[in-house]
Amino acid sequence: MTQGNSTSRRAFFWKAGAAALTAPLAAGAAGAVHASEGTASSDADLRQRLERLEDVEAIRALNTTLMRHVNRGEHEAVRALFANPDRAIATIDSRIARLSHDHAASHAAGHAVGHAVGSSGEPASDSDGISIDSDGAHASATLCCIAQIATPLSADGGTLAEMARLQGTGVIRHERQVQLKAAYRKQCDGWRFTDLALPSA
Amino acid sequence: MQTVRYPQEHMHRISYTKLTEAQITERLRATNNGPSSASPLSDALTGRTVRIVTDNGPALEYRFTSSNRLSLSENGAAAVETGYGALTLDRVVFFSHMVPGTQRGYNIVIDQDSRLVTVFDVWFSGFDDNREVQREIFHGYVDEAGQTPPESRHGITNRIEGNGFYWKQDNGIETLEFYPSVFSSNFVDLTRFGGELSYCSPTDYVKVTDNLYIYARVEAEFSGILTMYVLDLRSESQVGVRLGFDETDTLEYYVFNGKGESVGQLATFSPFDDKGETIPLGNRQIDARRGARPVYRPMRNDWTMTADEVNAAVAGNRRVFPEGGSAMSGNGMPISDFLVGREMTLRLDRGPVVQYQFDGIHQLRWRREGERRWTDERYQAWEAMPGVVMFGHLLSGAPEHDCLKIVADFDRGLASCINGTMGTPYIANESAAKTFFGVIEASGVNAPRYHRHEFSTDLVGSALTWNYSPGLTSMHLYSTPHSLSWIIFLENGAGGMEWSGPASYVKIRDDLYLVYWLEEACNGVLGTILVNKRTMHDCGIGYSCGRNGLSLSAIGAHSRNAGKFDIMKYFARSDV
Repeated sequence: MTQGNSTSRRAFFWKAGAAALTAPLAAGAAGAVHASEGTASSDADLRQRLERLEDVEAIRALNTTLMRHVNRGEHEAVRALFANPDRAIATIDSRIARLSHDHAASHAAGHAVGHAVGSSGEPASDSDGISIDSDGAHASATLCCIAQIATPLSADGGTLAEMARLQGTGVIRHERQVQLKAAYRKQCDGWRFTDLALPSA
Repeated sequence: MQTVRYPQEHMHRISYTKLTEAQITERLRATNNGPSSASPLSDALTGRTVRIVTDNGPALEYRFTSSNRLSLSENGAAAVETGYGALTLDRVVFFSHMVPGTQRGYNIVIDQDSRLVTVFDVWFSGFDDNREVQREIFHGYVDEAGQTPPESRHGITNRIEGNGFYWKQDNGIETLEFYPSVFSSNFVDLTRFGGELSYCSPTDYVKVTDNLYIYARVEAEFSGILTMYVLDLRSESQVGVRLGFDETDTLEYYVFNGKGESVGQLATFSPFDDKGETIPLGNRQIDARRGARPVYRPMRNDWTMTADEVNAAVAGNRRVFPEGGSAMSGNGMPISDFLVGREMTLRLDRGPVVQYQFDGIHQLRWRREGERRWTDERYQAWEAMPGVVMFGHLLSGAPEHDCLKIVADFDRGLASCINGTMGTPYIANESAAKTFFGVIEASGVNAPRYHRHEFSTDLVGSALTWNYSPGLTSMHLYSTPHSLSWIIFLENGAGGMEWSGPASYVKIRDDLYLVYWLEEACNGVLGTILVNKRTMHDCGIGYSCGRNGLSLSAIGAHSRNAGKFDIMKYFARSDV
């Protein structure tokens, strides 16, 4: 939903006026906001930073949506999150049975989980490891996750493996920390994945 | 005088007629009179009008005009009359009838105390094989004027998983029935099929009360007959119905009561808090077809080959103990060098006499006694107990692509050999097995003249789990002296799919048994393991032929004791 209505949300915020925005932004970036308050360049700067914040939020929501669909086995819904559904790579469909945020690893990696604005007052280019390109239309992220990897039983498991597959249990499950390398593109209807890579096991 | 009726063919081998819908319709006309019964029918319902409401299922309004006639209105439609049969067990009334002019009917369990109902909606001609009874289960209640509908329902359960019973119906039919799974069961038909082999069928288990349960199996891939009953754990008794066509295509439609004996319980492996109210099928999608459920149908897996295909496959590829093993040997025992440098003769009674030279841990030479030329072969060996070695190899050039799987006890001079061959009268790439007993002749070994290993029934009734490698675990149920079943676990540890095949058991030493099983009508594999009940570990050899060639491969797994059914007395009575 976030990627689908980000434009209208942004419009609402700007209709409400820049002054109304200073308060919430000040909570995270007081110095930067007050220093540029009241000038044309500061409005543009605010607009740009707000857009970036909203982009980060939209991408974060996209990531969460991906995890939800993966965990429910909703493969078609996963495909719909990709700019090119055929890039919903096989690893998502067949190997990763569950995905969840690895908050500890994110924290260790310096990702400001849950905080959209960094202490410097700059848009949080590394919030959740999300980095927005300067063109504002592309982004990348390194997602620290706990992945439950489901590896299909070896074919040389013979009859037992065949029976296990037939009853839906033909996989070996194990959990490991992974860093998913994600790339994104902003489309007219919001952000989509362009690539998502799981490092080899 | 022979008292046991052995069949011409066992169930895996019977070519059940592909009955047409018209043939089934014709044969079902007799059901208008209701099911037969060896015991007097119950009149518990006579004179009553019963309206049954089910969740997401039919509304059924019955008028029971006598102890064997009723009229039924389905979902408010015009009433039809037909015959029925009812029997009671404790607080339950069970009745069965077919719907005239159709291939469908109802088998219904009413708990008279709680008013809860389970309806088995059954029909023919709903699958590729018309004769296979299909079923859909609905839970509901008896709707009574002025009474609030009960909130609870009967439901599927794991509460009787692991149980086993001997049953004798009022018509004299005796069976052993084991429940090692939450959606399958294992049965030994002592009367109809002589009790030699056990078979597996998809099965429903429904909890009525803490001591009353519904069991319903459909002999899928065989006759397609439905056997459904309510069983009372406390009184070890049952009432139920049998509906379908036997191997002569004769209609069986009768209600029965029976008396049973618990034969024990096996361990179960689902979490303690899991009551089995759902069956976790992982990523398996059950199709939307009415009555659909997971059914193991191994003969539909396109694995069978012609003799020419087998010969070509064997010529093209032979995989003998490939480096790295396989998923079936992930927990294998260490490969033994016990035989390296030894020479010996394997002298089998009324069987081959084979001379060996073991040149390395994987290289041996063999020749039949009297031959001059040695044949090189790759082998693998394991020392299961001090002085007891299992090894196996192919017999290159043998017309039936033979393999030998040998257990040699060097401390006692004894040997047992399973001679595997490829091809049966039924399927060209289905393995067959012959068992030979004999001796080994080697330096320092004094072989006995008369003493031999022997077939054993020590394991019969036992269940052992086998963990071959991560994610690959099964349970063997040594279900008769001549067969075993293997059960696959669901993700939550409950028993799932199973199949069975002929087997034999040979005692090698105390707590050490040589077991083989044939995956009959199911991939054709000959599995052979040496079970060490002291270490709860096995070693063994799988032998099979598929489109990718002939395979001889290691088996090795860790075991857990899953209990034992006390069943030998039933086979002894059946002259086994």
